[in-house]
Amino acid sequence: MTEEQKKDYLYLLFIITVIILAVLYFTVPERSMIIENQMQWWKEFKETFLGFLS
Amino acid sequence: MWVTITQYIFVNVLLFSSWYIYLFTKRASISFIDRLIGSCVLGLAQIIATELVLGLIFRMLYAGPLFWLNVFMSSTLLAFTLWSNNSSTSTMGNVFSELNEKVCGFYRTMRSDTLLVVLFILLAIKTCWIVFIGYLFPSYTWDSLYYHLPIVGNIMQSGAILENPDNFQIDTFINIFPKNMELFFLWNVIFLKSSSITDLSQLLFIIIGILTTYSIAVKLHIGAKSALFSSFLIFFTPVVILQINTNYIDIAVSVLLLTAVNFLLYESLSIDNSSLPVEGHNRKYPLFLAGVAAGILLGSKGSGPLFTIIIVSALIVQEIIKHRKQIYPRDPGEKGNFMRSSMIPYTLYFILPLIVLGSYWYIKNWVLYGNPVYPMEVSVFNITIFKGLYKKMLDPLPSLIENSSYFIRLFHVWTEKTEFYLYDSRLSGLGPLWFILLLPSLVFALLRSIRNKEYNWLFVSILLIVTFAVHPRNWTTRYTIFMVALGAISYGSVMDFFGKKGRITSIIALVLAAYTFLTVNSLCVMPAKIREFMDLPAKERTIARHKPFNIDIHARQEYGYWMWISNYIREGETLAYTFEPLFLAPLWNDGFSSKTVYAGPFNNHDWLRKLKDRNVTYVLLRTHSEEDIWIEKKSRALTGIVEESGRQQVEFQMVFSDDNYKIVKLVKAEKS
Repeated sequence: MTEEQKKDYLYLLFIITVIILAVLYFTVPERSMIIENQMQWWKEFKETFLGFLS
Repeated sequence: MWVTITQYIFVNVLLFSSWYIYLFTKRASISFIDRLIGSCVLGLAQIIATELVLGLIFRMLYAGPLFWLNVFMSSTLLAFTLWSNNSSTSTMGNVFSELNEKVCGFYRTMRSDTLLVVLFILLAIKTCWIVFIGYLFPSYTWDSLYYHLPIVGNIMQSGAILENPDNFQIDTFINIFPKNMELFFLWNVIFLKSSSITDLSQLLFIIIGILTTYSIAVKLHIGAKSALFSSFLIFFTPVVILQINTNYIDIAVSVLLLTAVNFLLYESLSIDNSSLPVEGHNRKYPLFLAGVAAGILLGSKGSGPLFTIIIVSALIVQEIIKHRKQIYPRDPGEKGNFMRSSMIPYTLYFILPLIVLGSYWYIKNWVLYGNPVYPMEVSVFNITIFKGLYKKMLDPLPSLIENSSYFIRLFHVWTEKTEFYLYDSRLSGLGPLWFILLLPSLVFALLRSIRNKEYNWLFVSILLIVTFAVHPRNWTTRYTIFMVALGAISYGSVMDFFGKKGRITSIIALVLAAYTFLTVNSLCVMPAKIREFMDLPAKERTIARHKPFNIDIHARQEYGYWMWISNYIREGETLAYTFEPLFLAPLWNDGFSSKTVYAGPFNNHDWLRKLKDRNVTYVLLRTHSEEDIWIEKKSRALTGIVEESGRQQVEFQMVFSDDNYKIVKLVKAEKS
């Protein structure tokens, strides 16, 4: 196996690990609550900002 | 107001630039980035040292003496630097041309990568937002109000660094905590006569943190673009973003550890001179800067000794490896003087600044309480070395992870099973970048460095991983921010290793940074409140108006008297409190120019005399307390006298009252 091929396999392994960890991280039930809370914050921000502009 | 702002800007510019120009003359031994970091560290050390001298020895830690002492020191340093380098004009010219060249280099590197530009724009927008919020809102976080800012208040009102009477448990902690970082908070209040930007003190440290991460990465042979990209990533850590505009000290502690490690790398790299980022190598300058950073760290937090022991141990191991031929010579020709070539410079340049800047607080505790880390008991193998009040940490483990194993605890915290981020996030805070990208990068880079015997990599990794592993609360993310930097450096190495095909990981990093950018808005600072505060004059932007949710449920009955204090208590006036308040900080006015004193326990024989002796202007008391009933009776009696004699004055004048608290003004009555 050439060095380049080894690098390809390592790269693949790295990307697979990252994908698995991303799935683990984003499928935690609390994640939706963080996003929901932050969406609320941004919604209020948008309303306040538009109010400020007018 | 403009005078105080000018004074503050002038002293800071003079202080940091004089150190930068001094370090510029050492450019053969220290790289450009390290000189920037070094001037910040030395400037900070000067601030702490001058405050210690004025506060401990002369007991005149006021704006005037502090300003003139620092102006004198920095001017002397500047004059000495320019005088000792024959042509002062050419020195200054070289400083500016180097700065110009580096800024152009930075611009070129940035232009070469769109992802880097986008990441930098996100970082710049968030920083501006943090500065805006930090300026607009007062310090609202729990520990800031509980002890970080009261330490500042106590020092400012007495002009000295003194022990306070142990009236309540928090006073014990206020007395025993190392206070280097609070001295920096004080620096950001004392000239401005306002605490409006002291909650941005940690901004300096995240800038140093980004520079340090970059510098370590470059020393470990990571390309400039990857090093820059990875150093920006440490900013996108939720607990970092949320803590920058608070009077907490966790970013500072982690960054000082990284800074010490960065300067110690010169020692590590000198084993293999080809790796040094500079042409020559004079060990004393980086070693001294490492000692200064470690000294500030030691004197900043109770965990300082743990960090310092690990740094010193790493240095000793490194010295032994470097001088192994002198210690165990194979032939007589190799025998050298280990003490002279290693231990003496090591002691002189590293240990001395470490002790000078960090040890005072521990020596004082040892002298006063018989234990350097009082009130914690120190025992080894069940043998008590220093007696204390507590054997374990006071905060119990959160029930969610109480029965979990070591690794499950970390997994729980790193997957962030919480509904929102908070500045002191206990069970979250490192964000998705750490768990998804930086953690596997760390494992990858570590395995690679072991395989390739990259000792410098191993030195940095082992030092930080051991620090993490032995930290008793490593599941509290704010205590382990330095691990994100290690992960970021590792990610830089991964980027370089995979080259062009690794581009997709940069896109992932950017997406995760953008996710963090969007999801770390503090729920303590809601947009409607920001709008409300924008319309208020500076004086009215108080914690009582802010009502942040993190303290609201505990503090809502305190808001009334907090607001009254911030509106009416003037410079030099003294507020006496008669009970243990929820927080001490709101008892001072905004610029900490008023004074507070505990007027208890109540004694109806000499209580009034005590108040008069302490020049008390106002007394804060609980409704229906002993003091309240006594004052009511006394006022009624006095009013009777006043009515009979026709005199105008009474002894107590109620100026504030609500359901729970009263504030009465002490007015001198004429003797009948």
